Amino acid sequence: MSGSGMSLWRYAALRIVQSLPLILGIIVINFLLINLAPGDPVTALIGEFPAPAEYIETVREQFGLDQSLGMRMLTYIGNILQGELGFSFNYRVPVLELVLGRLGRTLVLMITTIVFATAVGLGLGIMAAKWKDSPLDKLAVGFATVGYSIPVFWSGQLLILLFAVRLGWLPSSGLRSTRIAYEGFALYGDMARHMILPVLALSLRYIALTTRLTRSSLIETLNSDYVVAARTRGIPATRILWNHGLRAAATPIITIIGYHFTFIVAGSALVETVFGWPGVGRLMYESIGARDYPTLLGILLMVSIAVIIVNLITDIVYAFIDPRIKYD
Amino acid sequence: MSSTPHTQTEMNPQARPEPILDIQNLITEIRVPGRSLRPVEIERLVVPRGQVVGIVGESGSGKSMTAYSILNLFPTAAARIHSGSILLDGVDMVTARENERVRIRGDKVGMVFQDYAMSFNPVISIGKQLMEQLLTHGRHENAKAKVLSVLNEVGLSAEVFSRYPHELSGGMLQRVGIASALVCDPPLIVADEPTTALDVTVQAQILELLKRIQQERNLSILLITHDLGIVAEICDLVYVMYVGQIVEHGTVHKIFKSPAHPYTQGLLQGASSVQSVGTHEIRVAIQGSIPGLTEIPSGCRFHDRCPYTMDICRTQEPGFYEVNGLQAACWLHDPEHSHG
Ligand SMILES: Nc1ncnc2c1ncn2[C@@H]1O[C@H](COP(=O)(O)OP(=O)(O)OP(=O)(O)O)[C@@H](O)[C@H]1O
Ligand code: SF4
Ligand SMILES: [Mg+2]
Repeated sequence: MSGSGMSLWRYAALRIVQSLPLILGIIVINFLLINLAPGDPVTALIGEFPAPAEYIETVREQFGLDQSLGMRMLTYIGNILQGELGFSFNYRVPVLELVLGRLGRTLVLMITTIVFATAVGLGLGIMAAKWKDSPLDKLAVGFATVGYSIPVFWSGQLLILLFAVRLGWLPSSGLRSTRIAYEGFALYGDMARHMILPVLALSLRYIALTTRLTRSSLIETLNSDYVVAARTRGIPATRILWNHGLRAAATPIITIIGYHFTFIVAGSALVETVFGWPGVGRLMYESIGARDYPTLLGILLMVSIAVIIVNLITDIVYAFIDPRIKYD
Repeated sequence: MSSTPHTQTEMNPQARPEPILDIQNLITEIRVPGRSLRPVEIERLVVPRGQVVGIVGESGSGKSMTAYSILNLFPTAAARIHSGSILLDGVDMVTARENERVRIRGDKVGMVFQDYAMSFNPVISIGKQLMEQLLTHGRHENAKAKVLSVLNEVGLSAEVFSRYPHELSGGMLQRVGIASALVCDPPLIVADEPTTALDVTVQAQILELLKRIQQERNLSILLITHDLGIVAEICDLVYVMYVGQIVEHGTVHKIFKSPAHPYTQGLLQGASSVQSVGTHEIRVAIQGSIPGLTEIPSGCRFHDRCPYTMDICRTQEPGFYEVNGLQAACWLHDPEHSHG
């Protein structure tokens, strides 16, 4: 890129400053939505059996639930500004600690999915474009159409039924085997086996998307005037595919990873729930059930910030691969 | 415009005997559902070494298809060479294997397009694209220096090396197009309307550049154009094309002085009747318009527009006749029909 070193940092800083009001808005809306939802965290915390009224009051005070909604929100925002995400009702540990403790597992799932789905989708897309209109192309397009429209929880359950229940090849849930205590490499192998089905379920949609967009951008590129011109200069077809074609396919792939990041976050929450994968998504699901508002709010806030950062990185990467895009 | 003007017939005996390009009995076809169209049917077209040869004709006469045929490479998968031979520096581009043709393209023949804006990848820098071409053709030594020198040769600064296509003006981009045609030092350049899409002042500069480079390098150029003014200025020989066929060819001097084919006469009258040659549409002082490939007339393809049409013109295709040193495919020059 020509002389964009300075403007890159200025641009990033500007974007981050611009997103602060957005994050504040997200906090307020999340806070209101969750606190206005039916259900009482204290009831959830204590359980359905009758408890003495004084005890309930103590718990309420302890968590600051006796104050007005507006007051609670101001306190919450004040705490966040100090890097304080609050205390989980359910687990009785700081939210930040709770979430960070589970983040690794979710990241492993998400990153494996992105890498796997991108590789498979790219491969299928390239083959489909290269042998356009062949049976292989039709198969890939059909798969992409079906794969895109199957909801994650459904494909997840199908995979469990087939590979775990019927064939018994793979574990259906959890992070690792509970009956045998593996150690060292065997432990990683065991965890990898547990990851196969969740990753497959989560990947399906991304493979479908990547295949479709890779295929169409490659076909468009390979028919473009500049590719014809490159061929008149004697650039061989394979080199055109790898150098010119894949450069063009990079944009849709960045789009999928970057702008569809929210889908992969939502998808991993579903997959973690279906496969009992103890990550942040599962934690979010549990927090909803337990009316664990601080945890839920903390997760939503961190996800929002992550989405903003990922979008920013996406824009920067776009400008990096396409010099026609300017930061402004 | 080469230093010693000469025609095919009076070739310099010192020069290498075989022409850089020799097209014979070329038929190019486009397969469309249900039939095959023939945009090019050229009996013979020769580019002698070190000369500038023009192809002129109205829009749709098959000039670009001829240019692509020379590389045996088409922008559409529906087109291909049906038969014939295209000897490019001694290699037949029709029968050569694809990997040999790939080696020849860009190395033995450079192509310059009308659409300069679309002839480079928008997301790769100019320098990298020129380097890619050099390196694919196995010219690794001093590749960067070579690219910089060819940029300099076409009047661009070294800074252009790291620029992207969208950062350059049309005239600069067309200079890059010429640089890319030259970078492997080919003996032949095929330029398809290289100035048509440019502003008039820039057109003149690009034409000057082509002229200068042709002289400095003693290049052979096949120049495709609408513009008879350009032909007069830069070409040694000219081929006039109509609906895929050559109807007349010879030296520029003789064709401009006394064109033998009624179509050429029409083109020239059209050109002189309007002041501005070099506009996009060629001016033809002939009634009607060029037929499409699905409605090619029988006999002489020009008979429905020709002011001298005779009976035989409607049924039989004329062969070439020599007329005052020109070759013209017209029954008027057949001794038996010459009275009209
Ligand atoms: N992909 C295609 N499918 C069908 N016909 C085509 C195709 N490409 C070109 N043709 C036809 O081939 C004929 C020759 O086209 P060509 O582009 O070679 O003409 P040209 O002399 O270069 O015209 P112009 O001056 O407009 O560039 C035209 O009749 C055109 O309609
Ligand atoms: S052959 Fe006949 S129709 Fe064709 S150009 Fe000559 S006179 Fe005209
Ligand atoms: Mg053309």
